[in-house]
Amino acid sequence: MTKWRMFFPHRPARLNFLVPSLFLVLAACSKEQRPSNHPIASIYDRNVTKIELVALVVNEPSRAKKVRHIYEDIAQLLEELRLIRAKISERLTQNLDANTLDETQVRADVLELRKRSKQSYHRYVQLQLELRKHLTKQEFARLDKVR
Amino acid sequence: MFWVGLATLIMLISGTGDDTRAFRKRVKEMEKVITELITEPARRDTALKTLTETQVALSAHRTRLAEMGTCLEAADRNYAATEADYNSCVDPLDAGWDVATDQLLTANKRFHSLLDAAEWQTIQDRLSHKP
Repeated sequence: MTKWRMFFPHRPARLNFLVPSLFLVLAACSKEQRPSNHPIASIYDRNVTKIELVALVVNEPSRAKKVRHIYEDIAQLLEELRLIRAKISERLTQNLDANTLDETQVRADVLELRKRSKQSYHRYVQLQLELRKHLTKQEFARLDKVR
Repeated sequence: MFWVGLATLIMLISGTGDDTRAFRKRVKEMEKVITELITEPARRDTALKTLTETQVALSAHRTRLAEMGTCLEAADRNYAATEADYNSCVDPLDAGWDVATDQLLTANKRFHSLLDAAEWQTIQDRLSHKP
């Protein structure tokens, strides 16, 4: 279950419209130029915002269910990757306490990060391609307008 | 470099606190400490040059990450995107990690050879911020 679903297991239908609108309002009101998000955060946001909108865009329930599951799988995949990255980051942080850098450990951590990211990325691409099999071009375009 | 480089690398990996302002602040602090601590011009200049090189290397990696993000967003928004389109987004980043790590570790070694133990400790004490 994604974080989104844990917090909003039975979200009222009106919120389906409210949440994306709120994102737009907050973005428009932001006075400060924020630094660009890390790609993983952007990918997560881009996909998660579509989960609740699928039913509004895809009229066939069986297809809508499949598409929604794919977006949920993407969200879960990215959450797992975030945890992996946090763990590797924590190990590297421990290196800050040492007087000398453990080069071997730094290289091993970066290598592991690359390996795990690559696995997740491969899965992400497969899920993205799967999405296109269940969505028409028009439905895809409508969902894309969300974010 | 010790704090600036490693801390920034960690930020890039974790995706938390990946903030250009925080990065610039760390670099400025490091420059200040080096300038105050190392009085011999040649050694100080080499240390500052190493710091600049590290900054450039990490900025380049940040740029690669941003380019990857832009490429991926374009693929996500393209109904006709193929696996090859997606792969083209991450291929340059893969080699970029090696480059960034090598540059970071090389700069770290150079700093170690430039500073004695007492100076090293002073820098650590002064820049005791962790990401």
